[in-house]
Amino acid sequence: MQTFKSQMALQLMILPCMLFLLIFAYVPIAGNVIAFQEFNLSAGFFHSRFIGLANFSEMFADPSFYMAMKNTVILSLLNMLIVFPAPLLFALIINEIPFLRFKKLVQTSSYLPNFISFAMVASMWIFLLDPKGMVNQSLLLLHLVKHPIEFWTEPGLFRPLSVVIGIWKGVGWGAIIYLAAISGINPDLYEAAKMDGAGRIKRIVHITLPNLIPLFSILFILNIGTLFSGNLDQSVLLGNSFNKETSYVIEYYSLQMGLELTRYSYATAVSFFQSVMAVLLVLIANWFSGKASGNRLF
Amino acid sequence: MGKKTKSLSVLLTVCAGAALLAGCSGKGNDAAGSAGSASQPAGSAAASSPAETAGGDNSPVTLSLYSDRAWYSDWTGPGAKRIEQKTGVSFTVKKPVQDDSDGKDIALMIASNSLPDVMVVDANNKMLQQLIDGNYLYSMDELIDKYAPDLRSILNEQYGPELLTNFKEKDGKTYKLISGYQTEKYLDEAKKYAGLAPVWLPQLVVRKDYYDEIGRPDTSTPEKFLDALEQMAKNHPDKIPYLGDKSQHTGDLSWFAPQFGIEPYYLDGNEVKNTIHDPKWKEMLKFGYEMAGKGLLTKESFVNTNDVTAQKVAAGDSIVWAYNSTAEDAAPPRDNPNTKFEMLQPFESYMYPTVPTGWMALVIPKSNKNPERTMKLLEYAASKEGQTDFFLGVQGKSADDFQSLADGPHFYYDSSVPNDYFPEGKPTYTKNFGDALNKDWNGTWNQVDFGEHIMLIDNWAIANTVQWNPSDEKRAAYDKLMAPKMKFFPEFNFKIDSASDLGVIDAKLKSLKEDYVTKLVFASSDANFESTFNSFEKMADQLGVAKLEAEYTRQYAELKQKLGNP
Repeated sequence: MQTFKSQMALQLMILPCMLFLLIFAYVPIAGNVIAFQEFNLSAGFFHSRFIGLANFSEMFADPSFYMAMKNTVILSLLNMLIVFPAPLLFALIINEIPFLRFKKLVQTSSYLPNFISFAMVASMWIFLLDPKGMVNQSLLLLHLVKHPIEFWTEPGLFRPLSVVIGIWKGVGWGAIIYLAAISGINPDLYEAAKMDGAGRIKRIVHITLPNLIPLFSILFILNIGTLFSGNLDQSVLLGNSFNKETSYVIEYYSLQMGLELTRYSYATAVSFFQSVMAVLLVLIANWFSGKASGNRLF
Repeated sequence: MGKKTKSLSVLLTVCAGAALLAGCSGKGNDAAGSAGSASQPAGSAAASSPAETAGGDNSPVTLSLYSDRAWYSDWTGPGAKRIEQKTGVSFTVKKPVQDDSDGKDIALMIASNSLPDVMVVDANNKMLQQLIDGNYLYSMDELIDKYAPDLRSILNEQYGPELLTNFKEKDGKTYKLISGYQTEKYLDEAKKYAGLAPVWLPQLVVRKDYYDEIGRPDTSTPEKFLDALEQMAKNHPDKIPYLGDKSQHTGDLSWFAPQFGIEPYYLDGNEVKNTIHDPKWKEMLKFGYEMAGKGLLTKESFVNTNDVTAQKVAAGDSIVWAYNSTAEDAAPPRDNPNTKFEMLQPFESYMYPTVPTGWMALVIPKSNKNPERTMKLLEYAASKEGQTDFFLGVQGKSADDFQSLADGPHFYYDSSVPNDYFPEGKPTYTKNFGDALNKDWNGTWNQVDFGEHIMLIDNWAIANTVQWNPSDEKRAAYDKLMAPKMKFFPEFNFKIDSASDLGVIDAKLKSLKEDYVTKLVFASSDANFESTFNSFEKMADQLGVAKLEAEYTRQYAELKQKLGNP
């Protein structure tokens, strides 16, 4: 209490942030009540008809929901297994580049895709992988294929492409946090390892990686909550009726069946389900991480 | 920490907190009703005499306006200023960055009790019905009787009586004023001036050089078109035989639908069925399947965006292009600057259906602070004078009378062409203004800032007349060809609440069509096509299409009676 009093001014400074969180993050949670109502804008929260779990029953009876959920989980798992660790790997590689100017060039150019809107990114990739695009023309010239590959209409190719685009767009930006963590590692450790005859790989394995594990664990716990969240941009801009069986994600379902039809209650039920699953997953991952490595988020 | 530092910290905290709360506070839209607004409570203002139009009380008043169209003006350009000077009314405009036909903005406005004074939204905005059903709007009949009795005769005589009869709600009242509704009066005018058929009607457009090569054969039936396309594709195997974009093909092969004369709904005796039960719809799908089977229709037309398609066409990658009659004015393909695109003869079965629902709807929420001035403004805006100010701009003396884009004359009355609305002659753009529009259509419109950008109500029979030119032989020939192929179906103007069970069936059917149309077009064999079609019909039946069709039939009977055609 004594400490709190002495820090009163500083404590007060956090107050606006707490208020911000309260107003914009916690109060809106109450809005989830419409998932259990037949929400009517005129009647509002308090006078709309309560319908219990009807929206959830409808959701679980809809085959489109299962298709969207399956795609979402598969794409998220691929992201988690391949896209998520990619920035760590990239940071380790960049860190080993001895030429400062080249290192900066690689770093800067790898950040750039992060700042391009996905609409632009999608157009660019559609052009690149078009039957008459650069990739297909190169493959044809090199006689690697006889006919252009229909990248965007082959359902089996959507997932790998989603991973490739995800890495291309996010790897540079994602690496920043790891590079910052690497720069914080005590240089004496590297010196000592060098004197003991450790090569580059051994220094990475025995010094850099162990120092990055706590950060990696925290990011992993946060990331696992997105297992039930899909990438709407990719689904809308790169999805089509040919690859729908692999590109249609839960956000698109929610948008079409909920918001486009002005069925706000139904859309809320879908997102409420996603939120509950995300919370459960974060709790489980946090517990597991604590057990396995001693690193917990809370 | 010193006392001063502590005080400073507390002050900073208070400021940050205040800023946060300010962000959460009410709209604070004090512009509405400011600047001399009469701010009278709804219904309290005494009715003015019919003669006291906008020109009577023109003290400054600022009203708030919401439009769900991203193109809507900020009401700040020279056109808006001219109208403000004349009427005293200006608007603070709120509009979305992207068109919002789903009505997400309106939903938020209802939820936060912040509806504006006037709303000009797409006639099919999904939230319009909720605004009406939720009793958020003034009835137009009530406001017209109270504040603008002349408006009724203006609408009936100059627009057509349909505006105040065809949009009555269950309670017998009209809540929205519709612009761009094809009234009989408008259709008569459009026919008279060779302006009925819009230039954007879906067409099949061919490269002239390739079409000349094969001797310009007849393409007026699906079979003849396929033969011609096959020949051209054979001559140019490196080209994409037919190219369109996904919005034209995914879900419904909609680009081919008019060629086959498919109506919006299929009338089977007295029952109204979904198009999926129309034999012509299946015939069209079969045509797509045949095209794909011969390699003439590729998956690109179901995947490409219109930008991607336009770039491929400009590069000369395609033979036939899914576009419209304006393609003839497009730049030639890059691989042959000496050729051009031309519209192929439409199929004999071509019919472009229109269910007239109107283009934009103007509604007045009960939150309106000054209904009297609003209605006076509407009375003026709907009149010939208002339509001229809103859509034609500044009057010059002759075809050459033109000064600058911002405030110079834009039109003159061409006395050599008689006009039903203006005894002085047909309103016509001055030559230089017309040239400026031809050079840079969007840029010029933005510069002068009049026309659709600040619309309240639009009488197409006046606003479009400047673009109608019956003496233009090419245009007249196009209208002669296409106008008879346009058909209007007011009896199919069904209302299915998207949030209702029927709305869900409708949405799921649409999604099912999207899934199946590509499967059908790219079916591996005739047998596969038939079995896929049967499976599609079975799935559609399971979704409950019969319920939807029963509702169509019910509404059809009602509409037929309402339209005086039982």
